[in-house]
Amino acid sequence: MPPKFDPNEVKIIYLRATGGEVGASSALAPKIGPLGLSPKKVGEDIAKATQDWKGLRVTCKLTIQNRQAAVSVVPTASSLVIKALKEPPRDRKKEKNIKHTKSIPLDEIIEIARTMRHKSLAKELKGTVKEILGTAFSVGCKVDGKSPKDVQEEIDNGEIEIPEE
Amino acid sequence: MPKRRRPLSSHCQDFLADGVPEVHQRLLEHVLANNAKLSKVRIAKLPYGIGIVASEQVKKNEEITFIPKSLLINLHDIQFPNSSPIDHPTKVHSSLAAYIASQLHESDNDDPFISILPSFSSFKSSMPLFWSDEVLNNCSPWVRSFAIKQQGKLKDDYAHAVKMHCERGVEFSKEEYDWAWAAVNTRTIYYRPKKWYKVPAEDCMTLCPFIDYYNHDTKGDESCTVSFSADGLRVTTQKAYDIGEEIFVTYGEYNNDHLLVEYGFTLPNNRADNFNIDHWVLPKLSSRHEKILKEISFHGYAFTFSQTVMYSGSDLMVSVDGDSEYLLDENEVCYRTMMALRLAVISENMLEKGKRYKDFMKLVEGEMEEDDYVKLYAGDEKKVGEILEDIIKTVEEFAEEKMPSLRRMLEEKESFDQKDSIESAIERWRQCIDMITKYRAKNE
Repeated sequence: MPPKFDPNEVKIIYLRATGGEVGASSALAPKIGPLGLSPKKVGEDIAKATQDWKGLRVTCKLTIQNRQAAVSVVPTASSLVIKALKEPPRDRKKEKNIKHTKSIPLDEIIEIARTMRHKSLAKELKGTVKEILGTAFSVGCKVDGKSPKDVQEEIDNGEIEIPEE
Repeated sequence: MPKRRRPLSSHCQDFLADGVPEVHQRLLEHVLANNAKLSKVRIAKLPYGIGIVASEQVKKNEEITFIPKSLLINLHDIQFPNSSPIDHPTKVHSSLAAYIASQLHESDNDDPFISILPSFSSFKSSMPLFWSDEVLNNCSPWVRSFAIKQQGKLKDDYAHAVKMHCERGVEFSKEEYDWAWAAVNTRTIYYRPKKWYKVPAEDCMTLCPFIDYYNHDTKGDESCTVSFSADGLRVTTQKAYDIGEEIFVTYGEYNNDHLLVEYGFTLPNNRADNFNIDHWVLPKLSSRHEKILKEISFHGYAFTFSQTVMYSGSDLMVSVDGDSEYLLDENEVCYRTMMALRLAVISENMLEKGKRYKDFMKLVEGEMEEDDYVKLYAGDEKKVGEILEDIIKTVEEFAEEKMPSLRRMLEEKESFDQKDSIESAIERWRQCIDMITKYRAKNE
């Protein structure tokens, strides 16, 4: 392939993994084995790269070229919301059907909206904040002690002001 | 054809170090007169050729070069005859080479970009596709197959160019065409702005003056990134540079064999270097093993379904397209090789029914962990180790046999004009033997 800097030479794989843990290789092996990468080694690399997200489900991005896999964590709304809950790390194998009931301050929701701004199609930051509140609702947590739906309404009514940027 | 205006020539000395030949100054005047933006960089003469160094301290994430699209030479600069694309597919590589060759053919042409291209003799000694059969026969099977494949492509492209362009009065000789084809092969950059979405990926190549001064290095996270947009190409730094430090870009994480055949050089400390051992692994597999490996994408291409190109006519059996197959590097043999050999030790009558085979498939699917498999089939694993050791020993012997015969050729008088190519081939074998030695030390 003569042209230099050919982006097609790089393969990108996205997958969900539990942060800080070496997961089962069933998700990895069929995808990366044929590329010559050892699922075990890449699994360890993923665990290392997701140390900050211990026990949370996060989306990882594997950039593979010539059997070198670079792992990075793609921030997603749900993992950022759950991280903001600051729950103690738990063993996912022992605890099933985890419920998230705690509350997050609205300021943190706005901060999350700023990180997710580039992915959102909303015109203003206000829209993105509402999107994140929707995620918070689906996660099951509260915002400032209230249901995220109520917060969304308050934003619409103008009772809560969201900064422009 | 890029628009040419009268050169301004005032501040172009800022971008030139001492001792750089005059032709480069003309190119610099040409790009600066056509709205290229250069910042804090300088063309310099380095031990291995021309490169770019920092002329001031450069910070991280700084845009150091911008080349507008008017300076790029790509499929929009070639005039195609009005014929149906089915009868005459465009083949940009072939046509770009015809364009460059015809520019050279016009004796009064003084295009600054063409004047800085290397001479044909330097391509002849650096590019394996121009090497003699004698030298190629003493190269690694992969290099040889790839070079043979390129020779075929060059032949097809020449026939295509003659058919398509010579009828319209574009003139060039075979030698000029060979030279231009090599220049296009070694210098084109991938360029696909959004407007080009209909152009197939293999035609998204562009020649770009100035950016091809940047030399290649494999450190993907440190070297500069080259990005394209509708208005041109940009080079952005990924780390800070001191005054006089050379600035590199990364063509991609390629091993030295690939760099040698495509671009005509090897990197002494290539982090991404590895060696293709297909030639020695494939004979260990029976046709049934191969069939199974193909089904699970551990043979032939990973992720693509095009036909495997095999050169089995002579002593070669190596795929030269897409992802390389079975690789050895200084740390390990790749997972593909391990899996192929793990299957190879399962005898044919056990295939498709025995428990061992089922467990092997579980390992492929990731339902079984590698560690568990290794524990369960310790005997097999030992056999795999033995086969592997045997393969590596054969590779080493192969290399040690080729080196002296290359050295003998170096001493012969007839091959004096091939001195450079023989030396590159020897250098590549030396790197391979180094790699095997390092691999042995790490895997004892």
